[in-house]
Amino acid sequence: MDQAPGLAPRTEQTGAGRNAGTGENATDGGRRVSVSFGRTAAFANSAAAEESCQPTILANRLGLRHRRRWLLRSVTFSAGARAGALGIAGDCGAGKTALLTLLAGLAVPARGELRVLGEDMRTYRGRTKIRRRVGLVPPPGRPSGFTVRGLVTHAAWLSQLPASHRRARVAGALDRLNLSGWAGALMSAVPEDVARRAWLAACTVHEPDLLLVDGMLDGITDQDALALARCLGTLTVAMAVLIAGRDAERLALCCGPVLRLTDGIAGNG
Amino acid sequence: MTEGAGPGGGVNLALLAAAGREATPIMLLPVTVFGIAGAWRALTPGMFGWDFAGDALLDSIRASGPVAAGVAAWLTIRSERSGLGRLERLSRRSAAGPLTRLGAAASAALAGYALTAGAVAAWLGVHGPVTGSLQAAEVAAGAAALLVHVTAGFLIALLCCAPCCPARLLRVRPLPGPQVPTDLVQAAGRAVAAIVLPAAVLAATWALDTCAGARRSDGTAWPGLLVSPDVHHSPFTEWRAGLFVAALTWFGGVAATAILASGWALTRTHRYAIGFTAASVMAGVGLGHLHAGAAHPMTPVSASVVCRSWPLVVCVNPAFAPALPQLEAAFTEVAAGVSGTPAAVYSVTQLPPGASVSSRQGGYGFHLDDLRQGYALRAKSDLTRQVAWALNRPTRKWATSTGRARTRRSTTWRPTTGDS
Repeated sequence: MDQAPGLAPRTEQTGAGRNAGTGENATDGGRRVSVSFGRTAAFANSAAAEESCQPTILANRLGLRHRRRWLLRSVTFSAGARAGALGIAGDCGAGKTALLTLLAGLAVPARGELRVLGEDMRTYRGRTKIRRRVGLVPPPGRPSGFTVRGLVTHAAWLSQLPASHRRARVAGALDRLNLSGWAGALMSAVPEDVARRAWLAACTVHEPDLLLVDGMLDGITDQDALALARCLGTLTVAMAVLIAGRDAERLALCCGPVLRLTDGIAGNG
Repeated sequence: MTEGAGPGGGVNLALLAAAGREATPIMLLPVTVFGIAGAWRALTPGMFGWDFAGDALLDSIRASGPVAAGVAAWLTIRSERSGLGRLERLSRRSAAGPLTRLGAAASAALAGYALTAGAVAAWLGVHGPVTGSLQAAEVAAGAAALLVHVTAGFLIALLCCAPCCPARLLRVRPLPGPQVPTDLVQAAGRAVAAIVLPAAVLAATWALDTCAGARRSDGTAWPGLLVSPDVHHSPFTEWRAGLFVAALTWFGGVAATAILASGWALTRTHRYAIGFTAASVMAGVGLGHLHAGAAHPMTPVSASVVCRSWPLVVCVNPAFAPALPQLEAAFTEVAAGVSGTPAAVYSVTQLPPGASVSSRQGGYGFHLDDLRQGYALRAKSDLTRQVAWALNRPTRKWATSTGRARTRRSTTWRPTTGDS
């Protein structure tokens, strides 16, 4: 990690109260909504404190277009915390995955400004750097052929972790998410919550600064969602986590503020 | 993330194991089954030479290639849908995962091709000694053509799963009302799309292969060889030397170009561009040679004949040697019936397809393209037809009392000489 992330005080905010620190800055015919989440962590050293002045995510009039369709239009928000969780709620097609794709550096903004962990995502160099520093948990899927340990090991290899450290880091990631008992099981055969935790382990094995989670809490029972929310809560201690999902109430289980996306437009949760 | 910034070496055994576990059963079985079916269909009945085995193997690609392409597309879509694509694209080794999976799929397909070859060889071995020789370049060209099919399916699916669009294959707009219908529609759409794309790849490659084969049968459309080099060997003709080497170069070059283009698209690393250029040159060279060799792909073979001389002289192409006893018996019956007449049969020689028959001084020709069941009967009826015609033809020749042949030439009919 470039800096030791601070421990942000977790705020259990639900419903309308969780957006108490949110302010709308501007609207453009009802299309542009700016929301700001200002929870800056307390950093242990001065370098980190200086770093903390920069928001983790700064999106200003951000847009993403695929052919003629705008997937995101004029999204403006900032997340200042180096640790903690931010929720992105929205229905299917609202632009959650598109936003995460942008934040991970896998797509180029069609317009607007986007800075993630201080890097300008409009530049190739910035996107390349950010890809090493984020973890992107995709929508839940079952990569066939992989065991739980194999998936995490594959992720560690992809992250170019030194071979000497890889085994220990894989074991650590499996332990952190209570997956040691499932390590040898095939991903196609494990229960749904185990598969999702395996993805979390794979995407955090390189200890990213920012974890982007897509649809992790959707499509499962409330009990599983609660267990996963607890797992995600433990991860927020070490890294900034952005969780996208359809159900704002479920996101509130582990997130502080929740940003709502509707048809590519950001709004309050 | 400085701790993880160092280059992590070593072979990714987890990836190799997963790719092998995933691709082997799904790819191996259909490619083998369809390959054997295609080879079986292509095998010339009754011909047990290695030449025909090579042709059958090449022809099997027309059946197994589209299946391999469809399965490769399906595997690619499945791995992309599972989220592996995004995980891998975040890393510097973004091409390693897809290309390893492509390698596993291609290896499984080639293993299926090898099993097909084994089945063909076993089938030939069951039927006694096998004549002729198997051209290594011919077999390798078939393998390279199969590799092109697998790569094409992989590449098409990868392009359809491009990362620029989150919901690529079927975009479902949120429906008003409860969430469930949207979920159901979306899930159904994804399932259909996961089936439709591989099926489309399969159908497209199959149609391309079929069209290429159909156009090539008349010998006029050499571009058909660019798609799949399935050709039918004939015992009376042989392929121009170097044609299969050219086909191998072409298919190898195309496959390498596609793989390196995928690597470049996934990583944007320029070292792939160098390999891409080299592979393109290789494909171009293969194309040039293929064009030159395919202009007149077949040349008449100057093979000696195999004969039996008693009680009748019967000569056949060496590939038909196992049929000599039955042909001899069949022709002897005909010869016995016309012995002592102007149409007496002294010798019968097999003619290449298309060659006109002629009977001259007791020498006859017959056509036989394969040894399907009833071949002796077919050959016999061919000879019988000629004998009957010779008995009634306007030009008659008969032996004089002094034993000298006398011929009167007809003004309306002139006998032609066979090519043999």
